[in-house]
Order: sequence, then structure tokens, then C-alpha cells
Amino acid sequence: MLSRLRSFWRYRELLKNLVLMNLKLKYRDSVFGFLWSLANPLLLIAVYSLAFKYILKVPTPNYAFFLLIGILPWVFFANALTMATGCIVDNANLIKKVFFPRLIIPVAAVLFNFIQYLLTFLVFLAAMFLLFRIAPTWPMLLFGVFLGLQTIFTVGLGMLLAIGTVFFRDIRHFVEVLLLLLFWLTPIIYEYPALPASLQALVGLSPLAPFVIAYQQVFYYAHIPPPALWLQACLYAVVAFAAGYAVFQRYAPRLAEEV
Amino acid sequence: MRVGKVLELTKVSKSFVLRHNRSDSLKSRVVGIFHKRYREERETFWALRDVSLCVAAGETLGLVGRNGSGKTTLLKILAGILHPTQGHLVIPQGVRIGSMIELGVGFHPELTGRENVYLSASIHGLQKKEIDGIYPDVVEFSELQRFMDVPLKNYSSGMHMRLGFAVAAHLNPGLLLIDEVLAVGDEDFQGKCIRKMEEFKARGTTIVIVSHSLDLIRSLCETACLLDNGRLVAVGLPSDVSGEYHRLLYGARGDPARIPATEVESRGAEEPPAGSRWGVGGAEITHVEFLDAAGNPTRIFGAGDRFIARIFYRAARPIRNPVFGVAIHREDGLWIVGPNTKAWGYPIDEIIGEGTIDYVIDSLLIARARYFVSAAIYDHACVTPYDHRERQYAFSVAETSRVPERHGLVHLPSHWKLNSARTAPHVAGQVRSDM
Repeated sequence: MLSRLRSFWRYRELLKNLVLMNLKLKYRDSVFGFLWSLANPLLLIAVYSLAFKYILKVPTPNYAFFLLIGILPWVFFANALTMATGCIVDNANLIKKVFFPRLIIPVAAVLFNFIQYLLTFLVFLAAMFLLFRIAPTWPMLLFGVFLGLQTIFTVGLGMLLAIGTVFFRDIRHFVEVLLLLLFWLTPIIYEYPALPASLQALVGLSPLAPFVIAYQQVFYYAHIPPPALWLQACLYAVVAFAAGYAVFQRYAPRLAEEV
Repeated sequence: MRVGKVLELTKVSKSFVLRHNRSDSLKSRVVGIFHKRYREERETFWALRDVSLCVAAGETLGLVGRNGSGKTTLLKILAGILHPTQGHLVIPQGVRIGSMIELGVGFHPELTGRENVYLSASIHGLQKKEIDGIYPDVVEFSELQRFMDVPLKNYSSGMHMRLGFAVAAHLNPGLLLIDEVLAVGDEDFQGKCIRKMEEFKARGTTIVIVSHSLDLIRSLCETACLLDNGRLVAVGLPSDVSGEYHRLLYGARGDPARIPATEVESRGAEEPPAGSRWGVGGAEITHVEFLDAAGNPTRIFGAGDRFIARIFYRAARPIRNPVFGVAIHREDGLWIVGPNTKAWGYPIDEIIGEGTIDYVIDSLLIARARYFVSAAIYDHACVTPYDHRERQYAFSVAETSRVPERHGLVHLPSHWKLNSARTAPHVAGQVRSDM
């Protein structure tokens, strides 16, 4: 374990370069660059605002802001998980030809999306203070903790799915479909407290629920998240990471011959 | 770090599971439970068996063997890419392993040359500072100064490779693993690569190199290992091991590195080696005969003799513009000549039925050794072989007084002339040796 960490550390430059390379490749030669990564969430918000606020008349006040809180971390989660799921298979040539700690690859995939998310988060902050005129509150500082837990959770799932995809290529398609379903099972476009109790149990357990609910608590309701939510988020992050790490390290030596 | 040994393999074996009818998808696995036809069949294949090996610090080890003998698998195990199924491998902590299993690993076509150097070097575990340090040398070695800010997609494949080698050559590893990568590139670049290898050796880098070029192995390595079907069959001096290798390839006997003249002569009359043969048919080479100056068949020639290879062919149908070719290899695989009628400007209109064609060497100025001859008939473009008989004939060259060359490969008509200002002109001697 310790020597693995040490060798991971020795290859930190590679991690940095993989993330930077992906960012460069994504925005090089594009005129609007980073603005494009805002296009997707903004469009979703426009469509959902229209559909729910003006057609279905959802009672939630300041609905666009509410949507923004949940959608941005969701896009981070979905993109990171999709990329991590295929990352080992997509980098087969690298894995077959040179040795480096394999863990770098899924971590780089999640980190790349994390950095993109941070950029959109800056836009979110600007929108919150300038457009929606929300006053800063103390609970907002807790956002960072939950974002950290969400990232650890995503890395854990990413490692698990990346290994799984090497042995069952179907997992990629499965994840795509599953993410569509999970989007509706996560309280992003509706308020969790407004759900009937029976649905609350189901929705509350969905993978991203504790994180998204916590974001809404700190930004929308200006509350400190209840202890149960802390516990759930920590549990999700620790279990996913531990399982992902164990499975990943168990199969990492076989990757060069299986991809 | 233990002094003396850089790596040690103990009874290392590696098996792969060959999956016929491989199914990576869940569906085929599920269907496979019910239908035998869709079930994947697994077969265990041992790529390496009980390989024990010890490489001393600063040693250069060559790995030879036929295709599929396990050389690359062994190299990948040393590199840490594959893990042994059985046995274990010890590499002291802190030895940086540089692998040149493929050049330009991780290069991305959309990134510039500079960015690719940084990316590729970091894949091999270098830190930013270290890469900054080697960067100027990499650029200079690759001779791509003007192209470093150009995306790699605009590079020619030669430039791509040069950059790949330049990066690999500057990783400054303690243990360098090379897989056949020196075989690529033009001659100039190959020469540069070999010089770089010599430089590594001089610096005390331990090198393990896989190559099919026995000349390379002999010139670079102190020790060679021969792998066959995953087993280590010989370890020793490169010249001895390459002899073993040829025995394996051609089924020949004796040590080709040092053959007494008498043995060469007696073995010259032996059956030809079991070479290979391929072609599309239509015309075939039925037989090749070697004739001396008097036109008598023989298998033994004196150095400097007239040599005729008479190729007997049979064309079942008219063949327009055929090209005949011959190749002579020394017993150890070194290619001596490879003439053909097209390159020699000797066009042949058409052949039909049986006939012969002679390849005549006026003076066989090659050193004492056993040689293998290949003969082939190709189409006009030299692409499609009608019949290609690879190294299926053999002859030997014995020493003669007419050819004083003892140490090299060929004898070139030449003479000596001493020029000295302090020597009277009549003393300056000339020793001639011309045929």
C-alpha cells in the first residue's frame, strides 16, 4: 500500500500532464473554448425552467437557481464516470507498452472533469451573487467538503467501472443508460423534501443524492446539512473508494494482457 | 541496492489464456450458458517456462529466438508491464527502468512536438525538472528544432520515430529494455541509435536488448540468451549462442563461429539446409546447381574462384517478364548479396517450359565460411513470388593463397603503398594482390 502510494507520487507529473493534455486538446483551436462546457448545463436549465416553471408550474421559488445548484455537479459526475468507465480500454496501447501505476488513468479522468467543473463553478458563483442576488451565508463554506466527498466517491466508482469494462465491454453502454435513469432519481429538478415519504426513501439512496441534497441545503436553503446526510455522504465516498481501490489493485497487474 | 546484480529472475513462467470465440460482452456470456456454440473456449498457453536469469550491473544482455519464442513477453515482465504467473523477479529498489518496447508511446497527434516530449517523458516517470533538463538534448538529438511547435500530426513517420527515440534515449535509466526498435529508420539514424547504445554502455547502464540482428547482438552484448518455445535453451557468449540459434533455425550442426577449414570442406558437400519455400505457383525452381570454372558441379569453392549458380526452372504456362533473383547469406544469417535480373538491367521477355539461368560471379571474393543460397522467380514488379526458395542450397568457400584476407567478410581488390618523404623512392615497396 505504502509503496503503491509512493510510486503513484513518483508519477504525479504524468497525472498532471494527462489532465492538462486533455484540457488543451478540448479547447485548442476552438474560438469559444471553455464557454462550450457551459452550453450543455445552460441548455438543460433553460429547457427545464420552461417545462417545469412555466408549463407544469412547479411552486419552487427561484427555480433556475435551484436547478443550477444540482445540474452542475451532476454533469461533473456523469461526465467523469463516463470517461473513467472507458479509460482503461481507451488507453490500451499505453498500458500494453509501458509501465506506470495504472491508477493514474482513472484518477486523471475524474480530475480532468473536476477541473472543468471548478471552472463552471466560478460561473455559478458569479451567477449566484450577481444574477440571482443571493447573499453569501456561512453554510456555503461546507460546499467544499461535500464536493471533496463527491470526487472521492466518483474516483471509487470510476476505478470499479474502469476495471469492469476491461472484462465486460457492455458496461460502457450500461453506464450510459443508467446515468439517464439516475438523473431522474436524483433530486435535481425537484425538491427532495417535497417528495412523498415512500419516494424519499428511494431517491434519498440514489448515488448522488446525499451530495446534491447537501449542495441545495447550503446554497438554496442556507442550512447546515443534518448529521445523517454527512454520514451518508462519508459512507458513500469511503465504501466506493475502498471497493474501487481494492478491485482495481487486484486486477491492475492483469490489465496489459486483458485490454 | 545490491552491488553487482541489477536483476534476477527465478523460475519465471508466464501463461496466457487464449480465448477462442472470445466474448467480452455480457450477452454472449449469458447466451454461452445455454448454447455451447457461443461458449468461449479457453486454452492456456505458456509463453515463458521456468526462466532463471541474472544480469550484472553494467552488463548488456541480448535476447534472441524465433518469432513467438517469448522474447517480448520476457521483456515486458522485466518492464513490469506483465506479471509472472509463477516464479519471481527481483529488481533493486530505485533502479529506473527505461523501456523502448515501442517508440513514441503516448504520443498524441494533436499535441506539438514539445508537448509530446513532456508527456512521453512523464509517462516514463520523469518529473518536470528532469524533463526541463533533458529537453534541449532531446531536441538536438532528434534534429527537429524547427518542428517542436508543430503538431505531431504534421510530422512524417520518420520524424515521429526520431522524436520517439530521442525521448527514450534521454530517460537515463539504470536498466534499459529495448525491443527491436533499433531496426527502424534509415541507415543514418540507425547508426546514431547504435552510437547512443554504445554511450549507454560506456556510462554503465545495464541493457537488455531483443533483436533479430545477430550482428547487433554480437557487437553490443557481453552475453546472449536463446529462447525457444518459452524456455531458455542457451546462455553464453553471443557468438556461441548465435551458433545455437542457427542450429535451431536451419538444423545445421557445428559451431559456425569457428569452423576449421577441413570441416568446412567436408560439410560443404552436406545436404542443403531445410530452408523455407513459398510462392503462388505458375513457374517453379526445380533445382539449383553450383558450377566451377570448368563447368563441373561442386559445393566447395576456393576464395577467388569463378562461381556459377545455375537455376533450373519450369514454367507451366508462359510467364511474361519474370524476374530471377538470388541471395547469398553467410551461415550465421549475414546477408552478403541479393542480385536480381531486373536490378541488373537484364530483362527477360518470357519463359515457358523448362530452362536454366546462370548467375555468374567472376571472382568469388568472400571469406572462408559456409553460405546459403536462396533463389526465386518473381513477377515484373518484384511483388508476387511465383516460387521463392529461401536458403535451400549451400556451398562453402575455402581459403586459398590468392586471397590474403583472413579477418573480414570480403576481399576487395587492393594493394599497399608506403609513402614517406624520408624514404628513397626506390625503397618504397608495393605489395600487390590482384586477381
